[in-house]
Amino acid sequence: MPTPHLLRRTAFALSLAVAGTPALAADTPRHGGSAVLAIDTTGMAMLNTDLTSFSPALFIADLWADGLMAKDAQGRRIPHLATSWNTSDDGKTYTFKLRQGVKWSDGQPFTAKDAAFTLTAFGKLNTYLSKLYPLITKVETPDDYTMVVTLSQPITAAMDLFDKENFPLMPEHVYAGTDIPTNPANRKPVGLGPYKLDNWEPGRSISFVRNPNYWDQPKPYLDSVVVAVIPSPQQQLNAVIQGEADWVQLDFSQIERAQEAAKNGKIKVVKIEMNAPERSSLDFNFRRAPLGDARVRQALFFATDRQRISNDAYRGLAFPAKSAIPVQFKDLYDPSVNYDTMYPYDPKKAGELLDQAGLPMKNGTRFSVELTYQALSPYDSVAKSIAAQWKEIGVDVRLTGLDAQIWVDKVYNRNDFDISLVSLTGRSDPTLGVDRSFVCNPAHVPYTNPSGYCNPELDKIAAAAAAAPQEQRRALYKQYEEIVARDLNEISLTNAPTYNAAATKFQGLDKLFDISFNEHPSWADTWLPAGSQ
Amino acid sequence: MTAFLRRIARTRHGPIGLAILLVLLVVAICARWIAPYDPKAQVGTSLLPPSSAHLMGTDNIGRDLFSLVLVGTRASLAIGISSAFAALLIGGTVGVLAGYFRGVAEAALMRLTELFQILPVIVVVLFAIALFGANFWLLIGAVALAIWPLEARVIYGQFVQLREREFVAAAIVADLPTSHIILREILPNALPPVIVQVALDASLAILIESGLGFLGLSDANTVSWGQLLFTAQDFLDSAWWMSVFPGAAICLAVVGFNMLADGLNEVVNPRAVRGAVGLPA
Repeated sequence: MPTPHLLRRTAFALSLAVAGTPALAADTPRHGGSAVLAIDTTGMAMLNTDLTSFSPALFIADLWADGLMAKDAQGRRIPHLATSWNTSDDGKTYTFKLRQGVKWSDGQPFTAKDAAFTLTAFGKLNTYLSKLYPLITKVETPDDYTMVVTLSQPITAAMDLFDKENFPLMPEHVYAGTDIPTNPANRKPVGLGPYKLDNWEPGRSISFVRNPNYWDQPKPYLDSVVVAVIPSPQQQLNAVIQGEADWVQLDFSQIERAQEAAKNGKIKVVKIEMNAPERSSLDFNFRRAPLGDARVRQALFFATDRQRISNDAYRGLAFPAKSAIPVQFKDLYDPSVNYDTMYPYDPKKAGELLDQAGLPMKNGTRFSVELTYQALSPYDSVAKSIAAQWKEIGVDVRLTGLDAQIWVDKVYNRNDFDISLVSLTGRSDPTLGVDRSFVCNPAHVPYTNPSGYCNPELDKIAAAAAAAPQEQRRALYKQYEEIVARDLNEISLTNAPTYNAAATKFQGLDKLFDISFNEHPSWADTWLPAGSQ
Repeated sequence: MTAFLRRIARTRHGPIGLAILLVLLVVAICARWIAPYDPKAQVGTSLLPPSSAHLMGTDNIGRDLFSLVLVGTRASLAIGISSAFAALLIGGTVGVLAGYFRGVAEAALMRLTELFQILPVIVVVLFAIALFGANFWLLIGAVALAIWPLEARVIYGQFVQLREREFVAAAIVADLPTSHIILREILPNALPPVIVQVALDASLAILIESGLGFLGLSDANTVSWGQLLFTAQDFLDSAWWMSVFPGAAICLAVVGFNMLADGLNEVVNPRAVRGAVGLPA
């Protein structure tokens, strides 16, 4: 199946064939140079993103790992290790034709067996595949370059689960017969990405060098990519402005400053147009009075000035979320549910609801709740804003800002909290990134519904929406949104975009940012012109 | 007491330190009434520069910085003073026991003190907070834990020296109870340098609290200067007022305590050549 991407590659190969002519030299990619990425890797134990969904590891995985398919800036699926794919009419059988003659970064051949092994061995350990894995009835490899996956029931978003961000391929010859979570390759990985790990100096840097076996030759062009460990968002951006680092994913407090600095032309601020919706949300613990009362949760929603939070904590770059289904899923979000009109900022209404719920104002206070969050920007500012706003209606908020690990244990393992503030990625489909916040969750998996809320009716709709053909899903998500808007086990505050900053000395930045959803720059297409190496 | 204050007033730095601390104390007590706004309420647009409506501007979520700095005085002084006294209590007990009884008690207690002394202060406190979370009382305990060896060593030194003096020998011969000898005979004579140390420790405690706040580890429910600096880090370029004013407040308090300690030192140690605290006379 000739895809646009393949055509581009052919055109590119042709352009290489005539690259000998000096006139073209200035815009011909050349090898050499290196890029430095400013990332806070504090607390990162491993690089294998089949086993961790820690953001820094996800940023870095795009360098060394690859998968069957990727997405371009418009969200279109483009082939990577799979050259073509199709879904059976009943939506249960998925066939992938794999690229031939590809080698792992250690020189061993890549075959369909590796892909099948990754699915069977890592499926149960991978957060994003937890939805898919139980439905797999068989994984077959009729030949070395074909993988056929059969499910017991269709999932409309299944193709997204095979995307390289959710399903990075792992080598069977390294992992077979070993204890996967403790395999040393999780820290010194063998992958299919454009670069391979050279050296990891904890607390300082992680360096990657060109993978000579990369499938998309003559890429990558850079000799090396170095991850510089820089903890504070301010220092990360400083490093980029000073030219010490070449890329950073910007924190909201830094975007204005980055845009100001970009005026000198040395750096460029890029908004990822089609990002995975990033919802900052409050989870209520139903086990704790009075939060089990829907009127109280609604009152707290009315008492929250979400526009103000977007303006302050997100420096005006985020916008108030409209419903449980983020608006970025434009084929699925049903606009009949709109929190802006259902729950506008209205402290008076909030007070009335709390009066009805039997929580009258006594000496300026109605009741006291704990709000827990990771002590990081922007959560810190969001939490303080909420404390200020709820104080107006007599709700005394005790703030507990914690270290990430302690917070995860408190909220998701022990459920020992009143209200928890978190920001969750919606990934590329509600099935992958949104359902986890609302469906029944008896297990204690981090970043899944910690509220104790369990509504079989909602679960049924979520399951139907996951399996329904694309054009029928919106109607189901309308019901989904309505139930959540009524029950509010989690309220969505804001929906935030993603911003990156990169040094303009590189060529091919358009290609670098030809990504969407949860994908990060892979630095495969980027090169440095002769003068700037 | 008034005589003592008068003596401090006659020293070189004492009166300045005393004045600064008195002002801070008044601010701490009356903060709620002096503050023009509710410090925890969003009263203006975020990141407003200083103006007549907001003397020190507003912070990143639109709270009045002047009110926050005023109210922050309370937490910072409370932590400074209570940690220093808590350290005096722990360190004092250890120092008294080790210095009076000598022998095994001395060996064990002073080695323990040294053990704490070689631990990096900030790491000890970070550990405590990582384990138990940041609440105000824990913070006081943690800071006290970090600084008590200083007090223990000062008191120990005094006791070792005083214990050999004739009046102690006389008390022992008179068969006075040990508790009487320690508390009534030796302690009053051992106290003067300890008071200086307490004043110095109070400033150290304020600095440690600011450091913890700056690292984002202070109690989020209590406004303190260090905590204001934590948020300010991300806005160093765009909102100088968020870091300058709380920073100046910390500076003022620390200078105040140090000058008071300097004054106290001149009072309790009149033979010393007038000079900075901590330098050998």
